[in-house]
Amino acid sequence: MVEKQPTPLIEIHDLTVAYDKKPVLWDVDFTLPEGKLIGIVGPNGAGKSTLIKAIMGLIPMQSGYVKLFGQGLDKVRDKISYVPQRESVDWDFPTSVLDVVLMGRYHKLGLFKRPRKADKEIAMDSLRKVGMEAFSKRQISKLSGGQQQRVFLARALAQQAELYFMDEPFAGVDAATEKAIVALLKDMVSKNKTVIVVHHDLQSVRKYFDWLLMLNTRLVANGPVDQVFTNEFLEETYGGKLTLLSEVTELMKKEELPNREKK
Amino acid sequence: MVSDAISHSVLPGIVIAFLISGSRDSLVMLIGAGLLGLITTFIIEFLHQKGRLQADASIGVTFTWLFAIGVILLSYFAGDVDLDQDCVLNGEIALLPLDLWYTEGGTNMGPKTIYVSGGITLLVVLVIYFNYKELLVTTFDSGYAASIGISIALWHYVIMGLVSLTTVASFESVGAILVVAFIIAPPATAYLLTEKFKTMLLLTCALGILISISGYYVAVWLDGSIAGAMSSMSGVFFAMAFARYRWTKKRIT
Ligand SMILES: Nc1ncnc2c1ncn2[C@@H]1O[C@H](COP(=O)(O)OP(=O)(O)OP(=O)(O)O)[C@@H](O)[C@H]1O
Ligand SMILES: [Mg+2]
Repeated sequence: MVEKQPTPLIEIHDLTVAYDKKPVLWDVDFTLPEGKLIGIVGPNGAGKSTLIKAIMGLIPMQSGYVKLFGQGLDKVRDKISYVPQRESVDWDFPTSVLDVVLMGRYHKLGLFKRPRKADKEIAMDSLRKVGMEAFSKRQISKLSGGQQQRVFLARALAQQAELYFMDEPFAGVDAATEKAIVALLKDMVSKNKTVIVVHHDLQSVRKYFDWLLMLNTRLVANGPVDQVFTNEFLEETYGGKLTLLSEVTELMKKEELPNREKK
Repeated sequence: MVSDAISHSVLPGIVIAFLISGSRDSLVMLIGAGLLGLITTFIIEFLHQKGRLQADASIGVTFTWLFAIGVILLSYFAGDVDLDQDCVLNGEIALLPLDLWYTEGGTNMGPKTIYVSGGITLLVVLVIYFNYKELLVTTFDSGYAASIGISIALWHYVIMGLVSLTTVASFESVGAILVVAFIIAPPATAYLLTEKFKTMLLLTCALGILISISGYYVAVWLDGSIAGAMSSMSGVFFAMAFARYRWTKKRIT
């Protein structure tokens, strides 16, 4: 018997996406492993959101294919959760926090079914995990930006998926909440879930992620954080933004020294 | 805005339905108009998404164009027949009780409109009741809806189809003024009074009924136009809601 080849969780092949004929992602090709907390970094307009939308089938691709769990998206939708960038919806919409989180249960319900008590319990439980249970009846228009973000996270948790795509889940979230959420994500990863997070704060990359994807229209690097989070790749990803780069470099020097001593 | 566009652009549908069937039966017209209503929303969506035209621009282009076609068709083919937009779409609420439905046996079943509008109301209520979650998620967060495999396009057309059916049927029975007044004023008023979506839906219906009844009695009292009185009442209710809204706001801040 041939040993079963471990199929990568996500396989992207030759992906090109363009808006108005202007390519935003160019020939992106990579695979990602299972059970990791994976970061995606890159400057504004690098195509990070576009990459996730293309994977979720929300925008057409010019070329290439995407395989999730070794299959096409439609076969595995139930196992995938997508957290859009917060700005993508109208928060003045007249609905309550609990109703938004309950949307996380919709994929399990049939066409004409309404959410049941069990679904409400799961939704409340998810709200508890992000520290928002006291707000369940609040109208979403009366939330702060960070609270809105936490509602989106709760909705994703309520989906009970295997694979999560989160577009900037920490945007506008205070430091304490961010810490709590990262702990939550790490806990999920320890249960062999896979969480993919678009992230902007380079200083916390090493602390948070196991694996890193660096993107700027093209794929710059993809691999375990300690292998790809280097000066060289950062420079390639962020180009000429030197002040930023030198800051990060300083930071990395400080971080690297004790690291080496440990080994 | 969309319902206004639909009310104009259904004209070619009515004319074509008339030309094909040769009858002025309101049901045939309704079907023709309803179909054109759907085609209208389809064209608007197409221009907006594939043509990258702004939403209001694509609405404007679509309805003027379709209305023009309707007028041309009308004057070219049906010029000598008694069919004009007025007689089809400008219903008059005061005449409703006269347009009765008789069964084969000759029994009087009451005004026709009750059945047509009632049927459409029932359809709308059923769709909202059974597909509340699809309608909610596709309007609030279409990206998320698509990611869990709920078709945005399908539900968009369901909503627009219902809007166009409702608009056409109401135009046919009560006329333009009331349709525009009732499509806009009650929900806008309810929006000022509550933030809960379900309450808003119920309040909108309640307001609609309230405006109709009070408007009717105002018209009787003043011996004026029913449509005019009802529209004025909808304005009065809106003004009261607006005053209340401003007042509560001022108290908080
Ligand atoms: N709907 C659209 N139509 C046209 N161009 C678009 C559209 N959405 C994004 N773009 C362009 O595609 C590029 C990539 O956008 P994308 O949203 O993927 O960037 P991002 O990496 O997520 O940036 P950010 O960090 O600001 O969220 C940008 O140059 C943007 O201007
Ligand atoms: Mg983005």
